[in-house]
Amino acid sequence: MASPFLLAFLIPLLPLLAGIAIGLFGRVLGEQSSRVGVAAVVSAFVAAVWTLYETSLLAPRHVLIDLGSPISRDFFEFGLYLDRLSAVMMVVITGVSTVVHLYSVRYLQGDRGYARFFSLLGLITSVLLWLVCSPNLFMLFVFWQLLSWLLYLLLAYNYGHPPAYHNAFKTLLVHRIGDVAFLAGIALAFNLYGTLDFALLFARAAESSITLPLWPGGVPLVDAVTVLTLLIFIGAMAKSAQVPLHVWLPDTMDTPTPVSALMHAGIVNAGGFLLNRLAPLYGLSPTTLHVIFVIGGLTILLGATMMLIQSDIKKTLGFSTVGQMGYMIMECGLGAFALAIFHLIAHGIFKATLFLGAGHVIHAARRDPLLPPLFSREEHPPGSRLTWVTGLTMTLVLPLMILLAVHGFLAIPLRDQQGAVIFLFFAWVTASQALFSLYRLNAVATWTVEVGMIMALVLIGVTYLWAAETFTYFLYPLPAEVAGYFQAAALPNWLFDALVIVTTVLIVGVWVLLYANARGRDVVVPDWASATLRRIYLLALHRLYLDALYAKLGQGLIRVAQRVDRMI
Amino acid sequence: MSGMVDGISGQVLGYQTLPLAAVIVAIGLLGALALWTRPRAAWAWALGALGLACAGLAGSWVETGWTSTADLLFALVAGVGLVALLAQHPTPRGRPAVLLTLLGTFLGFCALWPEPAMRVWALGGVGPVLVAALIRFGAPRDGGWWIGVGLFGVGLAVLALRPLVESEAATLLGLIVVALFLPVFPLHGAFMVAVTRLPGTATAVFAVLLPVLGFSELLALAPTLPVPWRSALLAVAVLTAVFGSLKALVQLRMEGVVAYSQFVQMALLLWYVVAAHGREPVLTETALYLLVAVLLIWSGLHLAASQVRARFGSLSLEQVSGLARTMPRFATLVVLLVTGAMGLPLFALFAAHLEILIQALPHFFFGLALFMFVWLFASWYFPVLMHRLLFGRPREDLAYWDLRMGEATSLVTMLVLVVLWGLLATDLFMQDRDPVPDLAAHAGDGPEAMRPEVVPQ
Repeated sequence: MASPFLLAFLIPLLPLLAGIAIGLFGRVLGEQSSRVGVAAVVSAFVAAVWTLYETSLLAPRHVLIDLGSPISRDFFEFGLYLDRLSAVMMVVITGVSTVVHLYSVRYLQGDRGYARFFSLLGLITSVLLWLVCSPNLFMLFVFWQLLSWLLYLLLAYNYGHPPAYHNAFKTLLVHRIGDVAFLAGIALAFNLYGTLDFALLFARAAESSITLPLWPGGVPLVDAVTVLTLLIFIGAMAKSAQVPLHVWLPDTMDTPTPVSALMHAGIVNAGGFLLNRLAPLYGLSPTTLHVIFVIGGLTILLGATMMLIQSDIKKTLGFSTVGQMGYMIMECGLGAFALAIFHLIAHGIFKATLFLGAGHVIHAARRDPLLPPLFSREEHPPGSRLTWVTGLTMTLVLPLMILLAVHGFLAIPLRDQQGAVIFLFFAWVTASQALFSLYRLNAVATWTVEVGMIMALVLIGVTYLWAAETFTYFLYPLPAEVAGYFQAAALPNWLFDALVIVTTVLIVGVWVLLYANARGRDVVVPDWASATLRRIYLLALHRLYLDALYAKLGQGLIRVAQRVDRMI
Repeated sequence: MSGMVDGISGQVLGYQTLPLAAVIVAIGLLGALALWTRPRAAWAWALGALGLACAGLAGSWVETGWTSTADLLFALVAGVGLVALLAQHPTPRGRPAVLLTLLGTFLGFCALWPEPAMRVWALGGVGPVLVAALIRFGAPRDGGWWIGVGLFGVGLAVLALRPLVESEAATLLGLIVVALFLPVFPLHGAFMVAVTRLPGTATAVFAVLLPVLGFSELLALAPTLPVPWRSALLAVAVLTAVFGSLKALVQLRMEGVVAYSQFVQMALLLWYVVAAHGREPVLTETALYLLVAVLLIWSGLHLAASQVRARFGSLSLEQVSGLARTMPRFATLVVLLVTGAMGLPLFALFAAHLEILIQALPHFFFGLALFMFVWLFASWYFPVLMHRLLFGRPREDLAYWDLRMGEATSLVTMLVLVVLWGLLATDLFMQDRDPVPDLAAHAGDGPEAMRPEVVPQ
């Protein structure tokens, strides 16, 4: 074991030991359980920061900590795989977990399952840490599955409350669909390439070109890498709540606030991490990258749309995360793997703050009858000039500036490989969402708020540009590798152009409609368009009827089973 | 593990120890019968006898090492018998279970004996013992009960006929025995009745003994099966898995869910033994690994089900709820067992399934689909079982009491054994493998096989 990385081994081990100790002696420890958990996770965080520092000082390389396991290296090796990606992820996980631990100490005080909660929290933190530093696909899959199961147990924390365990079950079932597909991918990978070790797998997949028929002895032949990356991607889709496997996320709000924070800030990011870890494999299959792009794009659009229409604040937050996960996955689909990591970190911090703040507000509102303050729409005129100027700046001017910056200042080949679309999409959709908020909240249409929003967006844009350059080279130091991903992800030119045109037309069109509507002016909208809009609204309101569809499917299967039971 | 690949009929750990162990168990049985009026003494006597037999077997293995597949099965039968006794209440109502445990262990020893005559005698003995036990002590006698008892009768008739017929017919009759004991659709009724209606913890003993006997028969028959029969058996295995999964989904009692989920795992075992034909010794090794993993986990689940039955009688899952709050020790152990039964990591079943899936069998894609199906359904009916039994609010009109020390110890023992067995997987995965596609080598072997093309760049 390399000595500088000895400390790294403690990072996943400490929360694991804390989780086991609290699980075994929780009754004895009582409310002291939190101290054990906090001490372990804080220590892990410090060790993670130090490990990140050490890793970033060294030339980027993979350091394997061999724990002396006698098992065949081709299949399974237990150890730690330390590179910059795993080091960054360890800091993020231990950081979020530390905040969640500290927050939970008082939040859950007096709760019947106090020790159980801290035990599960320690175990799930450890599982996440092992997952991000797994040296092979097998070990990653082991912890991937354990994550599904522990999340289920954590979501069913209030097991006396039926909605809590029903939604936990829904989550487990969706995650198991992903797990099963992931398993199929692993079995196929091992059978095709004879290894699950990352480096060997990537090398062998790059060296040979294997094709499989879609059905026995038939045509067309499909690239084996495409098949196995798609299978593994289904696993990522389930964990990161991508359409159509997103249905679990908005319904998991019957769990304590710290669990929501951990889930939305940490666990859902697993998909983005998985794609990054397997980036060299995904880089071999443009088809899979395009599928990832489409799924991510759909998730952004549908997640954002459903978020705006939900009347339940918790479900709104859930769909907000769905949309953000869509960004993360779409970035991978565009070959911008490092940006996905940057995005998940930013989103994690922002969403954890939001959830923990929400918990605080809920507690405050229970104590203080004057909270939340009443809102009176009549006091404020609709849509001031200031509001519209801000909106225009955010949705049109800033994206244009970002596009120019991408073309002019960056060294990474975003421009050549259409990667600028990331920024356009991000800026436009985020700004449109912000605009909607602004539109709804005329009450705060002051210079302070408007300037604040514009500055915030500028900051986000600049940070993204910085991340595009610096963070990409931090995680992926070889320029050829980065260029290869962008190249593999490049869409056909006609499709790219069509995408840009459609998006522009849509955004400008919606802009005009909104403005006219706010000003009380009539805009001639064809009947079919109105009808379509109404249908889209209804679809989004009913969450695309996917929940109902899955429920029907489940009920149908149970009916079949009951019939079989009666017959035989 | 590498030492136990010489097939079921190999040299069994020394003829001195095994008869001695069988005799000790027989003495335990007679003693328990003699102490019938003193349940606690009978239980202690039986526990001592079985413990002594297990210690003798263990001592012999330490001295001579593993010599055959049968050694492991002996250990399994004896070990589960001991654990089941430990979990049994030493009350007058628990006496039948104590007797059946000893009887089952004794018959298991005899049935795994290398001498064919002894095996036939013991196999023939299992049916009447179970029929008598079910008639005397079994739960209510509905249609399923009679079918089960009748199937044991069919088994007896088959065993009697088998020596009288030609080779192909004998193979067919052998397959019927396999289907009865392993069990396989549509002859699973006998197994189901035994593992859901026998008294107390005896269900766990027979849930191990019957599949062990079925597996022994299957391994003996597998090399002689004609090719068309193999295809038919693969189809039967798939049918069994699908049928079992659907049945498990709608069971109203814990023992039903546990029994049908075990049935599904046995279907996977059958599928593997048939699909991996010609791959000795890997076949025996992996099949045995899967069998032991399944039986360890499911014997734990059967024990847990018997503990629920001992407390709440014939109440359905819907009628018993909230055990997580009222019986936290039981709930924790059941959650861990369910984790193993769902094929999640750290437990042996996960390693066994994965080992099968990475073997690049001729019917790889078909098998993959089958395993995926089984996994998904297990992820459905097991959490539903947990919700109904453990979650929700406890009833106020029911008396709940958590596991006694013996009961808890039995479940913990099974869990520890399952984890230890999972760690043995390291030996399995140490086998040298070709770097690239086994799958390609088998592409044309079966109708389901895909044909990959390997083109060096």
